[in-house]
Amino acid sequence: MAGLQLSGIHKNYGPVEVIKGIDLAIEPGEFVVFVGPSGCGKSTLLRMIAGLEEITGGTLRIGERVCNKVAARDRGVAMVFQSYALYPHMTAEENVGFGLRLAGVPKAERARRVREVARVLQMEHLLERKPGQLSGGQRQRVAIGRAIIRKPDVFLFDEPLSNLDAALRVDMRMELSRLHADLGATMIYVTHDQVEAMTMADKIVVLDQGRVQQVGTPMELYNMPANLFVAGFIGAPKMNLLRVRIDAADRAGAAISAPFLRATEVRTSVPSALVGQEVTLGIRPHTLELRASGPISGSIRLVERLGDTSIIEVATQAGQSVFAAIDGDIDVELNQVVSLGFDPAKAHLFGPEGTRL
Amino acid sequence: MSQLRARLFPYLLVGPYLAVFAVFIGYPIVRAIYISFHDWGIFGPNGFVGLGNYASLFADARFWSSLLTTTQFALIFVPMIMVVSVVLAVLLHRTLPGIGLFRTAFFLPLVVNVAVASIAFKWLFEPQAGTINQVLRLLRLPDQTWLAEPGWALIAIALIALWGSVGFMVIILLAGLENIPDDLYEAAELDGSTPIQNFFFITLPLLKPIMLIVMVLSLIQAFQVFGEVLIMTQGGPFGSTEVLTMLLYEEGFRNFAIGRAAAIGVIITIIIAALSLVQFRFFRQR
Repeated sequence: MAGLQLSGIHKNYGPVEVIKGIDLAIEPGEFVVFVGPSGCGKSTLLRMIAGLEEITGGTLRIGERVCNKVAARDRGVAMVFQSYALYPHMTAEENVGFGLRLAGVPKAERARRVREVARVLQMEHLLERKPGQLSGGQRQRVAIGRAIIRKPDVFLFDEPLSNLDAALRVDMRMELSRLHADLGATMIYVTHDQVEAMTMADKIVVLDQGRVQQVGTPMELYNMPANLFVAGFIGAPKMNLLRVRIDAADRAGAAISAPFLRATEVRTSVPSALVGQEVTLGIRPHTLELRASGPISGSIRLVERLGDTSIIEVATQAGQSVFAAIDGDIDVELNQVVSLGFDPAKAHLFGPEGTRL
Repeated sequence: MSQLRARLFPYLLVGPYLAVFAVFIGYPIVRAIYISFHDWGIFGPNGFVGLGNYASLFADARFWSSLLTTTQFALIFVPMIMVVSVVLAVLLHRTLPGIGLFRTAFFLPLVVNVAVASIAFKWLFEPQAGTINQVLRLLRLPDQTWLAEPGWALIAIALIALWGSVGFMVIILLAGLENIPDDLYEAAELDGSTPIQNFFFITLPLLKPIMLIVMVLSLIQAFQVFGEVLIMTQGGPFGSTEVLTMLLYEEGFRNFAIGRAAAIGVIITIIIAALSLVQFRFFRQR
């Protein structure tokens, strides 16, 4: 078990800079999730940690050791690939034991350790099969087995669940969390799925365009998004981001208004310089509720029933759409005129540059 | 009616090929088999002899000697081209600047006519003025009489055949290498594998189906080798390079024993078909 320290990490492909200076500390035993949209650099960063991509600039420490120039095989890391990358000509047993075979571990010892790992992952019955004879979930297990048998300091997962169906993904998510609890190892997990990030991580690193946007626990990110990108990326359904004008501001809060929003107050300290300017109001759909007379009114354009909650899209007269997640038991129908209100303490304001106020 | 037309359409598409195949390959094969059952001279058939041509061949020491020579040639040529083409393909599979140039260079001999290549190599192997012996002299090594030495002549011919066809085998193998996903090598690297171990544990096993194709193709080529032998050694020295095709040529075009020549052709075909079948069966099972 080892921690990691990334200082000023850069990655260039020729003139194109894909990782633009990342500073990050990962504690031993932490489950860290790198999350971000496609092309944000999360997989590249993971591969740089693995030793599969060269580091253009900055320092990578695994434990106490600087690993920039250390070969992948000597870094003490194991990786589960998105494609699983199982050796198609070897049985599951040979796949799992391949690293030990290369390390010269005697056959009997190897077989014993493979069985042990297979027992932990409940795949003893699959050991004789080749990858072509395994389902997606079973291949996933073999790939994880291959990673854990070497008892690495750090586990790396590159979107390991993205090829599984929805139900299996939920099962494997829980299983990985359990595995982390059992092994207590440092794990770094890459995904573009913010639900995976929220459910599994001790710490989430949100990346966009090669830069860290925010680092924090899932609830920190959910409750206190640092900027518009994080606000829009974390949380499902997405946060409503609405352009509003600051009418008045002091330390205790601000008065805001917009064509679709009756003048209202939020409890965010806003610099007085912003009075009269446009900012972005962020309200999570779950904090909006139906009220007799709320600051936002409009007609229901869409109802998505999920059972315990219903997502409704309310179109205001000013043409602005607002999404709200309401109790699934409340009976609403299309074109019904409704009024929405929210707790001013749970509203977020983002300044003209997109950073949190 | 339209259903019938739909059913006939595929045949229409393959029709031109089938016609060419029938005229230039199918008919000659059948004709050769037919001829092999006859005493057939330069002016045509002299009568049906059944398996007589085959019986006389099997009783002829020259036939067995040339079959042995052909086998020796195959035993030299097939392993040589397998090893060289796999090594070259792996080396050429890297992404290095200018690698395309090397790939083209190894492929180029394929477009050179075998007669041209054989004449060029005959000069290179020439004992007095040949480039190869000149290089040996520069290195202070003794001269070799390549094509005049029974042991060396077959090897020299194998080298020329290798030069001519290694590029094609490399192209086939490169296609096979392209199909091995990069992440397998990355996973192996993280498992602690060195580049040499990668080659033996990942590349070779996954390339096996393509190597089988290369092996079958080169075996077929070995049993059909002719142009190089005809131009460079004419079967000599002392019959040491008289392969089956050379014997076929001698019987057919020097002795005008067309029936015997056809029988040799049929035997070569049967040997190649049988060996190919055995190889496919053997490797498929594994």
